[in-house]
Amino acid sequence: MNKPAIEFSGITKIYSIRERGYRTLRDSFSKSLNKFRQKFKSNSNNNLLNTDNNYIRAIDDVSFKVDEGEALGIIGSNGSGKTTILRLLANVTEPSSGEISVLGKVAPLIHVGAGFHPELTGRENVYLNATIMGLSKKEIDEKYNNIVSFAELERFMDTPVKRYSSGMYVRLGFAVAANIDPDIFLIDEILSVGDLSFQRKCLDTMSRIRKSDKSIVFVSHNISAVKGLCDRVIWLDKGKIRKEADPSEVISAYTSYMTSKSQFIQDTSYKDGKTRWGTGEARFTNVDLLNSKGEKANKFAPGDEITVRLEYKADKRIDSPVFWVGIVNDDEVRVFGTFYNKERVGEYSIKGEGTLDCTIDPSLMRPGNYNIMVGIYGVVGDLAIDRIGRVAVFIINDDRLARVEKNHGYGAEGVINLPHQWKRI
Amino acid sequence: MFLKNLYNNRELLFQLTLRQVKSRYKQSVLGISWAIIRPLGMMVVFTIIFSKLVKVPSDGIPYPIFSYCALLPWAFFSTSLTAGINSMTSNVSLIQQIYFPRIIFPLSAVLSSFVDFAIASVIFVGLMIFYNVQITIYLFLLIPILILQIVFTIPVCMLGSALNVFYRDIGQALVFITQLWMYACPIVYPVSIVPEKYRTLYALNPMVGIIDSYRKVIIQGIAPNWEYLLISFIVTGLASVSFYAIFRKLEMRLADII
Repeated sequence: MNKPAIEFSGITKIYSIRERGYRTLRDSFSKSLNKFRQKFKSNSNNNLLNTDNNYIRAIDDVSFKVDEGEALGIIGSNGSGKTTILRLLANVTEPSSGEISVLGKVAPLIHVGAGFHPELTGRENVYLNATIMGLSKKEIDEKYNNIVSFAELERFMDTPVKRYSSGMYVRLGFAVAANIDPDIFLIDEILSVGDLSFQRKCLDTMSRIRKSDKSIVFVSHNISAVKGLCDRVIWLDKGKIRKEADPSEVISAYTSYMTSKSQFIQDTSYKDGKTRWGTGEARFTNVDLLNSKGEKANKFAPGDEITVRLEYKADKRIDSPVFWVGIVNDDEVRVFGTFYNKERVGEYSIKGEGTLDCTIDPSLMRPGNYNIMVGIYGVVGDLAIDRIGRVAVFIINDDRLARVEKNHGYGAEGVINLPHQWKRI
Repeated sequence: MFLKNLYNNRELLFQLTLRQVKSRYKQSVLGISWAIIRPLGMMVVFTIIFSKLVKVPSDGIPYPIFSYCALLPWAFFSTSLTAGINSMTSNVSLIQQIYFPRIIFPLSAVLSSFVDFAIASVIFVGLMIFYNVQITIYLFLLIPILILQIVFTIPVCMLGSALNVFYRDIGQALVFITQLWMYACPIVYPVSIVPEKYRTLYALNPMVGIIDSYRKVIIQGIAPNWEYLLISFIVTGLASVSFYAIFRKLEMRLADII
């Protein structure tokens, strides 16, 4: 069997937590003095680093392989070590221990437009960027027209890049990257920049790459993109591999984990303003998802009913607050939202504890992972009284559909599932 | 092996140098003529202050060309230093994402400064004609001296750029360092002004031997002072070897610290 394109064996990467390495000569002097002393006390430096609070293990004893032509996805929450792995693969930094073997030319698409200089024109930047990514002048000359038409910037190649809109900028950068011909692609969150049509182009390109014999390492938060493009997925958590298997297995494990972590219920504090905020006069005390039998559930299939049960407590009387339930899919697209308000039911008021149920028929929903968001709003100008981002996670399973669509590219199926029929005439 | 690496990356070196040269002068009206204005302007100021007002001796050479002959290579050295020491810290995203030999950064800084130097040399030729300088066969020594200067400049920029990533103080102090260094070289004054007993110590600064030699071979048309030149050569050799070694050690840690 061929040697794998990428092989990580027991890789550990340790970073110093302090802002920048050693800031003053005095610091580095005392640090090396300590290290020197430590060498005489115990035999390994690692001991020092284990207990020293100034260091963090970004990656901890990680081993994996990527074969030629394989696409590996890496998912994990922020700070799990994904970017560190990419940096190690790009040979930009060295592991603290362990061995890395990388065969072939590597193109890192971590940030499109590496090396772009605002004063230079589009043409000049293409040559610069492509050279940085490893193309020779001859190759760039050959591919130049492809690059320009891919970016759809024929008229602007002689304008300084600082005049480009951010969309143009990103298109140019990606156009160059898409035309490199490396053996291994490293892709990091490339989908988080650019508009929808650009993201579409990105994913199409990546699908095309996947059909060739190139290896891809794809790091992303976008679960469905990872599922659609990768042969295998690694779930990285705090620097360690938590699970490594085929995409659907890892993703369900990941989603179940996130589901169980569905924070908040007892957490009525507002410290984590990112996912929960509001004035607090009324608060959700609990949010549950129930199936048609009234039992708590997280997995639903076509034909089921999803009941979102909102339990709340209002500290004082509030007149006609607006309750909102929203459903968001993996692509962060808001699939559905609904309001309970006085327009629907007439004037009312809440005070003290209460429960509100919203029952949804999911038959138009596509299989996948979804988040529930909830909110209570005041009447005047959408003042949020309590608003929670990810409050519950659920999965729609549809095995029949999954079978039909198994081999199709990412995104072909769309956001909702409309009733439809095919007929040959 | 160092040279082979360089050859493989020559196009990258070319592109990065091009980027630096272009970005320096694009969107400026005077554009590349700044490469000429700077040393010329300094020459005028120095002539007024150090020749007319203070009356510094100049070994019998007319002061304007005396100072310009030194200002030109000095400008090459100091712009190389400034661009070079900042070459890595001003390319944070490249260093964090893509690997290519890091030496390309300070190298392209030196090369782009060389472009300025080449342009300003044209004016120098004009000055030589104006002052009726008689050239001799010693003029050809100019080339090895220039090479020596470059061979000295590169390791200094290498080490400086890497150290600047770790200790940003260096970049901050750079203006200060360059100014002091300029006065430590025989630019506004001739070496003859330095007391004899200190001259060897003084010549430990490689730029001393280099600049003095330029004057001697170009303007005075005589042999350079071999003693100073030898010292410059030795110091340059030591610096090249040691600085390069340190640079290679630091290279892989740059992305972690920058």
